Amino acid sequence: MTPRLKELKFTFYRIKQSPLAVLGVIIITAFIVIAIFAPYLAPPNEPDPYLLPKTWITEPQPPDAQYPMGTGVYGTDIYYGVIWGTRISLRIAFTVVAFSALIGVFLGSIAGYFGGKIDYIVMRLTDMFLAIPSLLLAMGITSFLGRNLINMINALIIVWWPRYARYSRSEVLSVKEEGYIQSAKAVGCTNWQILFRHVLPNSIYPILIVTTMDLGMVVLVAAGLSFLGLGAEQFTAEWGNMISMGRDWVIWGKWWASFFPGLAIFLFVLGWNLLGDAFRDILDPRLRRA
Amino acid sequence: MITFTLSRTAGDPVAIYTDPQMSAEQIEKIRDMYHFNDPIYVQYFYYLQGIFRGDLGYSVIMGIPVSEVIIRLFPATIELAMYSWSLAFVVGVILGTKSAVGKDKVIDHSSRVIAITGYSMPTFWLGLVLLFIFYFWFGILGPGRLDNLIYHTHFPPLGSFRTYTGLYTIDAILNLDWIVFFDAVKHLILPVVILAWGNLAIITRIMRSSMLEVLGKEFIKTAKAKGLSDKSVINEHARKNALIPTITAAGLSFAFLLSGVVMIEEIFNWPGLGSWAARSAISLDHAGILGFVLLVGAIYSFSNLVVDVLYVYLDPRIRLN
Repeated sequence: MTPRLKELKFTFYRIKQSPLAVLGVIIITAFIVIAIFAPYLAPPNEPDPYLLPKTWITEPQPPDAQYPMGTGVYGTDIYYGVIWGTRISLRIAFTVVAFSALIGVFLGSIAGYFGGKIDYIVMRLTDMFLAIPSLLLAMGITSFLGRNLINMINALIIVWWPRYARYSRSEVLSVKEEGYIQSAKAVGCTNWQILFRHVLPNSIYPILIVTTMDLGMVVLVAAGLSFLGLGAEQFTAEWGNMISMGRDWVIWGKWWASFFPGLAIFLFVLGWNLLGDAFRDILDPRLRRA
Repeated sequence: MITFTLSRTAGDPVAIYTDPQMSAEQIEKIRDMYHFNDPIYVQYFYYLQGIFRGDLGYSVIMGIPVSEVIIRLFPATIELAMYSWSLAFVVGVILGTKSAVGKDKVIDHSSRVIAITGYSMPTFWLGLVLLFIFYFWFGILGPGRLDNLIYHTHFPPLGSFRTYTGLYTIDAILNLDWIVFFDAVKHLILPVVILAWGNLAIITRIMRSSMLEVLGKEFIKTAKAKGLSDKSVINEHARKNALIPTITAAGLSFAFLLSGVVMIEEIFNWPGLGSWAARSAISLDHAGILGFVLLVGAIYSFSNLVVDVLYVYLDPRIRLN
């Protein structure tokens, strides 16, 4: 069995051992299943399934037989929103993380590996972006781009890639000096070959940890943006959006409109954070079997 | 630089300062006043110049210049941030130490759970839930900084409350006005706790790992061999050394604090910079948003600088090198 496959199997073993990690996996799987089976769990609303179905009743109604989680403003079905919101959240999470990781890791590893002017430019660029906390920067960018789901995703990608650039750059810098890189050079591998076949796979572990947790954190920030009014459009089945719609009624005692979407966000983020945190312990090479 | 680029990306910058009914002349005048007609690098020069002179533009939603908004709303936000950060730091250090000392026991796992839940929780959601529980059900701890009744009876023109710092808790002590003090504290509890909980995670984790590292070192064994009690060993020797990376983490947690402030202020109707920023963002008040982003960037960079300097100062190895 190749060494890499063995490592992978060992990683799974360690995951099964940690109760928190197992909990995280269960939560995430539950969300993915809900997302896949959304049309069966909550009949899609024509013409756009992501728009919440409305009636003309303004006040939120408490949960009952027809509306398992109650209704929000204008009779929006909360249960429907939570189910279909799963799809949107997963989509946001994976899109943002995938693109920002691709851009970030690529730029970061070139900067770390080749050094010199490229390094300098990339570092200055990341410095600029990292000087401002992600939520606030995303707030700034979205307000300029326009209130739109796609704009929010783009803004989040812009905000997120510098972190990956930083991580991969420092990883590459430390891997660069290892012995096997020198041997590869001696054998005659081109720089790009070395980068992709040797440097990257060995520097990927910490990035994996961050990626897992980011899948949750991105949704958290996205929900926050939607809550403030900077993300999804009105009546879209996005959790943050739904919380904001139900917000004014909470102090009048109608808690369900904001509670259930928020609970969904919490569990979603919790799942990924648990997994990521467990990864941190599992993938740490110093803590693996002696 | 970022704020400048942002401001130029969004269509015609003049739009927010003008009204469709204004005559063409007036619009041209505004264009000139803000140098919108000049080439890009000239605009950047004026922008920087403005910043150094303290001119950050005009906040349309508040009706006053941005710099004035910042000065006015600063105390409210500082009060919130100050208490949250201190709470997070103190609790984080304590939890971190206890987890390190009792590694893999109940305290370790439970503090980890506490930290992770705080970190994963959408602050605005928790704020709403707690507001509901405490305000709707129990009828205490409402939104805002003070109860309306207390505010109007104690502050001018009816009362004789003198504002020194703008922070109600400190001012109340200075005024010897205990009613205001307790009311301010009542209103601070929920926002501060929620904000602190989110920050706990990082501080606890770093404190724990640095404590673990320090406890494994040689000088600890020496101290124990000398016969010092466990408790004093932990408190005096280990903790001081473990605090160093934690301070760096505390500086980083500032970023979380700054973003959390916006959410919390929105939910609790706290009249501070955070809710102003949120409203500016929604109403597309460009000057306001940019002013806020600039301010946040400045604060964050400054706090990082302070942390770096502190680090050098506190770590004797670096100092004596």
